[in-house]
Amino acid sequence: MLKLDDHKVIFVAVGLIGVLVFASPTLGLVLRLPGGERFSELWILGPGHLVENYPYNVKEGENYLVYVGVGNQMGSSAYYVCYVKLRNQTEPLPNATSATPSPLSPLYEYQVFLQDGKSWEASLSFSFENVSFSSDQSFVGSITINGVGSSLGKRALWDAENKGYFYELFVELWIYSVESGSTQFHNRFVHFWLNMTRNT
Amino acid sequence: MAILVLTVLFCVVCRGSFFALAVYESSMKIEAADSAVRNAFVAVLDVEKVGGNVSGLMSELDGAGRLLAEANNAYRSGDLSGAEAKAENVRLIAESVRSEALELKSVAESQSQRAFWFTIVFSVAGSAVFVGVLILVWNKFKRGYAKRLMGMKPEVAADAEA
Repeated sequence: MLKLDDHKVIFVAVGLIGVLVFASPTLGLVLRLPGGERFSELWILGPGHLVENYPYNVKEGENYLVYVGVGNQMGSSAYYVCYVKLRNQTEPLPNATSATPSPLSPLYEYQVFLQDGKSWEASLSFSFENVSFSSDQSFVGSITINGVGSSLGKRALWDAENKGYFYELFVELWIYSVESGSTQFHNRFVHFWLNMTRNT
Repeated sequence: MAILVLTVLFCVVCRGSFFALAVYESSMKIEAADSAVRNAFVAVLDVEKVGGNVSGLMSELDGAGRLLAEANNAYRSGDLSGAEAKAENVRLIAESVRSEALELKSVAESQSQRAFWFTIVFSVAGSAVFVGVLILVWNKFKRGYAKRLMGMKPEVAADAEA
């Protein structure tokens, strides 16, 4: 048989546990536990919503389709802007080390408002117009993205090593910062190469 | 001949000025829409911070964002009138979202205040009742324990015999 003092210890322990249980909702309001890592996701999927069959050999007048997606894991609602840009081999991509965006002008944009834990996806269809070729370079006069045409005037030199006239389509993710009151580059971008070919 | 040249020149200059003015007006309208959307988003974030349900507001804002992107895309492609019309629409939606958010914020604040006090009262009263009941149980247990102890037969004699 346990001594009375041993029973007392059990009662005190039960009492403390009970008080903790009743106090836990208040403790939850007062104590802020560190949350998980906060981040945003950005992706491009092929026409079948899979990581395959991305457009590669493209030509004038054809329509191509990919999907752009964004996921919010920032711990609160977020306001994102996705800028679609196109570059040739010599023009700069965003710099992930210095977290600076590409200085190229956007051709198209998406604005997305997402609650924490939610994701968004939209189609990105594009076609090229006024494409011409000379001996060692190709010229793209304009691009139409989701039905909106923009003049482009971009040249790509013949790449003898990879055998093609290469352009790179990329999407930059920007996020609205309440502290600065402006939209800032979120240091995330996705890209894929396009080889401009002649119409046969 | 000179008058004709001057007239043509005047028309060219005027056309350029009108175009520049149209571009300026469109960009101002887009900027106003952009600013309205940002203000609305900040107001929605404030509601979220006090624990309000912002799914409806976020969905409205998403619609405004989509329209703002369309306005910017139209502006880039040179469709100034389309851009202006969309920007104006965006501004109206964003302002309505902002005023809804401000209303919701005061409701959410009072609800969260009530929930806060309810939680405090629950914790304090719950703990007090629990401790009180435990003390009563302890006292009863102590009496029962003492009674049981009194009723026990001493076994010391048996041990001594052995």
